[in-house]
Amino acid sequence: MTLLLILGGLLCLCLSMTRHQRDLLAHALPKRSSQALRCCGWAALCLSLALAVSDGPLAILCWIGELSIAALIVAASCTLASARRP
Amino acid sequence: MKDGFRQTMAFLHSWAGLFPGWLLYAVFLSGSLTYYRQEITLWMRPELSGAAADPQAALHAIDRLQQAAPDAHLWRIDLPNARNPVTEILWKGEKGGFRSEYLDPRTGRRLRGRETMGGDFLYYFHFDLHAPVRLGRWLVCFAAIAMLVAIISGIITHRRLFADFFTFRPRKGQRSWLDAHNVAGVLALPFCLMISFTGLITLATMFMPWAIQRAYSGDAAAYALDLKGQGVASSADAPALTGPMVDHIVRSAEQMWPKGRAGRILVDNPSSKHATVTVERRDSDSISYDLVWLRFSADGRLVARHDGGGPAVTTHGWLYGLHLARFSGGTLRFLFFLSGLLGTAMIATGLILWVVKRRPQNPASPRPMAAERANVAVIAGLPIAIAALMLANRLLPAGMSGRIGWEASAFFLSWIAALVNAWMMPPQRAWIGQVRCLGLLCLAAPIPQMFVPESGLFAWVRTDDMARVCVDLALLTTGLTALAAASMGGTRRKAEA
Repeated sequence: MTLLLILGGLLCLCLSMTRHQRDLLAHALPKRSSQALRCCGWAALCLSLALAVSDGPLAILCWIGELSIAALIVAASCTLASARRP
Repeated sequence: MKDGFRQTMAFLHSWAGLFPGWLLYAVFLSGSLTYYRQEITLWMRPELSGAAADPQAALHAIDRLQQAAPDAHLWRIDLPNARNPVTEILWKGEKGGFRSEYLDPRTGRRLRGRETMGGDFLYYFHFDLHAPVRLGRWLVCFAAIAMLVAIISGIITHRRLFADFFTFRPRKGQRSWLDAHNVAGVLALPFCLMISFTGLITLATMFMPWAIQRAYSGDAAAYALDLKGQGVASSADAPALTGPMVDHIVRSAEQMWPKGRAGRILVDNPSSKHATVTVERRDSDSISYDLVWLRFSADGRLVARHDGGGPAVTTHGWLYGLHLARFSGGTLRFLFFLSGLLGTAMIATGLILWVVKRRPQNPASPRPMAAERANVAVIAGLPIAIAALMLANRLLPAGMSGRIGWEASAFFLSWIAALVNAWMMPPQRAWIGQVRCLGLLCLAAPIPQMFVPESGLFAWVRTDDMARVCVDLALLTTGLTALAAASMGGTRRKAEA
C-alpha cells in the first residue's frame, strides 16, 4: 500500500522533469502540468511518510527501504522506455 | 571559490573511495548476505531439516545439558524460533572452553550435522575479515570512516542530485558508469549513511577506548556488566535446578513481557546451590539491542531484572540494533538486504568508474592499470569465493575432521586463484572469464544435495522448507544472471574486435 503510494509519487516527480517526459511520453508537457505533477508527487510522498510515521518506527524503516525500491523501479522503467525509442 | 571547493571534494571522493573501496565492497557484500545468516546456516546444514519450534524445547534442553555437562560453569540455551527451528545448547566446561550441540526442539534428540560455520563465516568476515588479532576490525573501522568521508564528499561532488535522480543511460561508456554510480548511491543514501555510522558504533569501544580506560581502569568486563545490569548471585540455599522449574521460569518470564518471547536462557553454576537462571527476551522483539532480561533463583524467585538502561545505553542499543536488524520481519529484512546490495553496487561502480576515467586514451599503450586488475580480483573474485564456500560445504565429506578449516580454505584459495587470474590475464578477458566462473559455481552449488534422498531443492519445495528453497533460488538466479552478463560481455568484445 505504502509502496504503491511512493511509486505513484516518484512517478509523478519523474514525469515532471522535461528529460523524462521525452523518455516516457515522447514529448514535453506544458509547464503547468509539470508543476501539477511535481506537487502531486511531493504530496504523495509526504502522505506516505505521514502514514508510516503514524505506524511507528518499524514502518519508517520500511518506508525508507520502499523509497529505494520504488526509485529503482522508476529509474529502470525510464531507462527501458528510452532504450526502446530510437 | 565554490567550484574550487567542489573540485577538492571530488579529489577527496575519488581517493578516499579508492583504497578503502575494495575493502568496503567486501564488507558491504558479506554484510548484506549476513541479513540472511540464519537462512544460509540452515542451507549449509541440510541434515537439520525437519525440526520445528516446540513449547517443550527448554525442558528437553535442560535434560540434555544435565546429561552431557552436569558440572559445567555455564549453560546457554538458544530457544528455537520461526527463522531458526532448532535449539542450540552451549556449555562452558570446568576447564574452560565451550562446547555446543543442536537439538530437535520436540524430542530433545541431538541433531548431528556436518561441521560448518554456516552463515557465521560471512558474519565474522563482515567485521573481522578472519584476520589475526584485531587487525581485521581495525581495517574495517578505518574503511567505515572512509565510507562516511566518501559519502559526504560524494554528495557535495554530485552536481545534480535531483535532476539525475532517475537517469541511467546505458551503453555510453564512462557516462553509464557515472550514472549507475549516482543512481545506486542516491537511492541507497539513507541506508548507507545509517549503516556506516551504526557500524562504527558497534566497534566504538575498540577504537575509542579512552572513556573505559579512565572510568574502569581498562576493565572492559566491568563496563559491560554495568551496561547490562549487575549480576546478582542468588544467596538462598535453593533446591537443585530441574527441567520443569526452568520451564516454569521461562513461562513466568514470558508472562511478564506483554508482547515478548524468551530467546535465550543462561544458567550460571547449574550444579551448585546458588544456580541462577537468566531469561533474555528474543532479539527480534525490539529494535534496540539492549535486550531486557529477568533473573531467577533455582526455586523460581525473581532476583534481578533489566528493563533497559539509561538514555545513553538506550541510544547505543538502538543504533546497534539498527545495524544488526535482528528485529526485522520478512519484508523489512528483504528491504535491508536490497539496500545493502545497492550500496555494494554503488561501491563496485565507483571503483570501475575510477579506472574507466583514467584508462589510457591511447589504445596503442595497452598496459592496464593495477587498479583495473584489482577490480576484477575483488569485484568478481569475492562472489566467486563465496560461491566456492557454498559448493565446498556440499562437496567436502560430512564426517571429515577439520571440516570448518577446509571450508575456509576453499573460500580463501579460490579468492587467491581469482587474484592470480586477474594478474595474469588482460582485464577484459579476466572479467568475462571470472563472471562466467561465478555463474557456473552458483549453478553447481544446489546440485549435489539433490542426489541426497529426501533433501535438495525439490524435496524442500514439497516440505515447504522456504529458507533453504530461497537460498537455492538465490544461487540459481545469481548464476543465470552472471552467465548472461558474461555472454553479453563476450559478444560485445567480439563486436569490438
